[in-house]
Formats: sequence, C-alpha cells, structure tokens
Amino acid sequence: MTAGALNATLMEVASEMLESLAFMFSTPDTTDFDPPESDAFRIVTVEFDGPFSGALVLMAAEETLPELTASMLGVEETEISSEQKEDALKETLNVVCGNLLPRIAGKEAVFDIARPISMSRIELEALLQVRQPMAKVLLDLDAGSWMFWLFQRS
Amino acid sequence: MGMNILIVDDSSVMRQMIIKALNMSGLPLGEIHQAGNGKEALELLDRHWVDLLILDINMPVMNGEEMMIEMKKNPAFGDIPVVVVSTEGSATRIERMKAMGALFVHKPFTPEIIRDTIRSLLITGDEP
Repeated sequence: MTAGALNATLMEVASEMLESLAFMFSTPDTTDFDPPESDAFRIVTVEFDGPFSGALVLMAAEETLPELTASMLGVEETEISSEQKEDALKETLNVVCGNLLPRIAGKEAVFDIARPISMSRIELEALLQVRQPMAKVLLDLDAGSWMFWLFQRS
Repeated sequence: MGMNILIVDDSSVMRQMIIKALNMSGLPLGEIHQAGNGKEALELLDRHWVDLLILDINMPVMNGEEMMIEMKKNPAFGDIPVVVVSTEGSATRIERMKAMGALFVHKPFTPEIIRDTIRSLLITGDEP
C-alpha cells in the first residue's frame, strides 16, 4: 500500500468509527501538519503486534471530548468526569486501530492489540524525531481537531 | 424472569455502552455483572448464576479466547451462551471463537445488532 493509500485508509476508518461510535462527523483536513503547540489536547496511544508491529497515536482537542463521551455513554455532558473522557478517547482509538489493521494487512492477519495508554506531548515529539509515521491524518470536528499518526516498529 | 448477563471488557466505557444497548433492546434483563478481564470473569462465574456472557477478545491478564478455552474445561460454565463483541478483524481468530460456539458482533455496533444477536443465540443458536 502506498503512503497516499495508507493516509486515505486511516482517514476513512477514523471518520467512520467516529460517526458510528459517537455520531460525530469529521472533515478530512490535511496530511501535512505537526503537533500543535497548545496544551488543550489529550494524547493516547495503542501498540499492536502481528504481521507488522507498531503503534497508533491520537491527539484530540480537549473541547471535543465532552460530546464524544456523552454520546458514547448516553449521559449529559455536565455529568462526565475527566477519567470518563480519557476512557472514551482510549476506547475510540482501540476501535479505530482494530478496524484499521485488517484493512491494511488483510482479513486473515492476526494482530494482538495492547491496552491504549496516555502519552505525553514530550513522548510524542520524541517519537516523531526518531521515527517517520507510515500514515498521518488530521480531521476537523465541530469543536476542534483530531490528529492520528500510524508508526511501524522497526 | 430476566437474563443475568456478565459483560467482560477492559474498557469501562465500552461496558457502559453495552449496558446502554441492552437497556434499549427490550430484552428481559436480570442482574448485569461486569468484569475487566477473563480471570475476573471466571471468578465472578464461580459466585453468580449467569445466563449469557458478552465477551471482548483483547484484554490484559486473560483475553477472551483464553477465557472461553477455560470455560469449556468446566462443565458448570461450558454451556453458557457467549456473544463476542470485539474490534477483532482477523477472520482466523473470529472462526476460532465461533468454533467454540460463540456468536460475533463487531465494534462499533448498534443496539439493534446486539438485540438481534442475543435473540438469535437464545432461540436458535444461529447468527441473525
């Protein structure tokens, strides 16, 4: 799969999962971007092992999380805790990763997907310094942007 | 009398989403139990009567496939109907779970898919 095709696949899967999980609609923006300087983002990552191994990273605008979490849990935005926002973001990344890998490697491929964990901005920047992502996309949502990076472990 | 259901998923948000779907399903519900991995779930099965298991695959400590293998070794748990709800995309692994008698629902799911799968499992044992 070419880099362009990988970006398109990541964009398609991420958009579909957001819509299905939380009825949130996104607009593909660009594949040419860097992590924003603002602190108003949360970063989560999930590692996987299989025919190829690596990690998928998601950096999401804090302002998008109340709508995501409320929609997934079926509660009011005012009833949501910070921990629930984090859990909702991790589960969304888990679902995106689980649906992305077979589209890249085929339906017969078996992957073990680890539990999603939080990541600091410093860790993300360090990763981007040493590793070129296989794919990356930025999606625009009503309340802010979501950025994905797919890394392959060497 | 309602069904007692055990939901096994390491994500508390996903367990809540499944409970929301069950509440919308119109199925007769009894007690809903929750566990974060297969090992916790087996311990819960020792203490509670469960009519249906809703099971994720990728979990820490003991994953869903390992849990089903353990359940099949125990005559008390071996016949409990299982619906696997997972992001799993590997046809190979899905077939292994189906061979042990589970039905499969892919994440993300709709409440209707959960309802129809449980109904079909309880009535015929076949997929909807």
